[in-house]
Amino acid sequence: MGVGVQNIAVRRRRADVEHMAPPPVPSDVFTRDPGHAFDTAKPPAPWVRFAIEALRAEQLEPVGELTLIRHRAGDHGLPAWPREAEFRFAIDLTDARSSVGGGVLLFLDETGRGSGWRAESGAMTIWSGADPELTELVPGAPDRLTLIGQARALSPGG
Amino acid sequence: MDGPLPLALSPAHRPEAYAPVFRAHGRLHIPGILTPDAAQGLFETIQAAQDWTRSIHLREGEDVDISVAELEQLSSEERADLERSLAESSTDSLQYIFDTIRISSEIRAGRPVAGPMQAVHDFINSPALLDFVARLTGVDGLAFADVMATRYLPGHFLTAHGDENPQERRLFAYVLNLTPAWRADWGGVLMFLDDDGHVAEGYVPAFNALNIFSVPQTHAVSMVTRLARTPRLSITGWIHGDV
Repeated sequence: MGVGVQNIAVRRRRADVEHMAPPPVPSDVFTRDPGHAFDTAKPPAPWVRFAIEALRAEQLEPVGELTLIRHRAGDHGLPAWPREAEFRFAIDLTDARSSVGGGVLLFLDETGRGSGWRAESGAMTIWSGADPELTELVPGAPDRLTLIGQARALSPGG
Repeated sequence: MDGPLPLALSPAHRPEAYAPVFRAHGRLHIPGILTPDAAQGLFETIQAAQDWTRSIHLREGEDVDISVAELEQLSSEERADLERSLAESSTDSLQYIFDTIRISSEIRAGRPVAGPMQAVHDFINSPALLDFVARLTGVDGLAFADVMATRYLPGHFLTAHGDENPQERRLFAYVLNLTPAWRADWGGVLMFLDDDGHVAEGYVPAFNALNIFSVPQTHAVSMVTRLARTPRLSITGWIHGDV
């Protein structure tokens, strides 16, 4: 893992996501800002509640608004947020069969070496330090939906 | 590039010092493997090469190699249609499309290769380099190395595979990256995949870095993106043991 990157990835949320069974996100809720190679939307309330619970299980709480991102074939990258909290997180809402199809959260060190994860519905990745690459989805790859945001440690007794 | 290539390993490396890491992980990334002059000369040689073929995998043991010069006679639509139809006709889980100069195959077939390409082949097969690999890996009895130049353009990729070939005794695979400046968001990452399909380790192409790994080991090259401003150039192949 790269210098300055602490990844405490957790992948225990698949069942919870399925049981929650939120409605599919309508495609027309997404917008694309100039300069971005992905679409964003305000997440439905059930997803926000799910993220809060998932973060709480890791002794974290969200800071600021959560964002739903959709990557389609040819899309890549993550938002360059101003940092408001120590941690950032990404919850995968879709599956990818292989890393070869792109959409990999790739954590690299300054020498260009690192490791990463393909999309797995329900997997939550939490990191501090440098943001990962989200690699370009290849032609024919299914859309990748990801819930992202920032988080901080739960205050004692919080 | 005219004249002999000044190909030489950097004297800074101590392969015995790397051996424990290689034994532990089965792969290694070695920056600055060649002397600066050698790396620059090799880059210029590969960059200037004209005899590329576009290689597309159809099925096990069957690859289509089409001269890039011939492809360039086609319109961009015709070329895209041809490449797409070939790629989609693949019946194998392994798929790839990239440009190559199969240096060792040409030499084995008795066909002439350009002087600089012969020099590259001879250097990779030199006692100095094979001895370096033997000390690095702790494996004696290295017989020879396959050598090919590869060029990945936007849209080129290599899906997951392990490099096994029952007809050969491939011990190690290597990739010597030669593009002077490469960005992670250009793709072309050499990815080692775990059993769940995640990236256990990835190497972004770095100029004059040698990636060497034991065979078999599941790996792939991620698609080079449209953002790439220059080709991903490498010398690559396998190091074989005595049969």
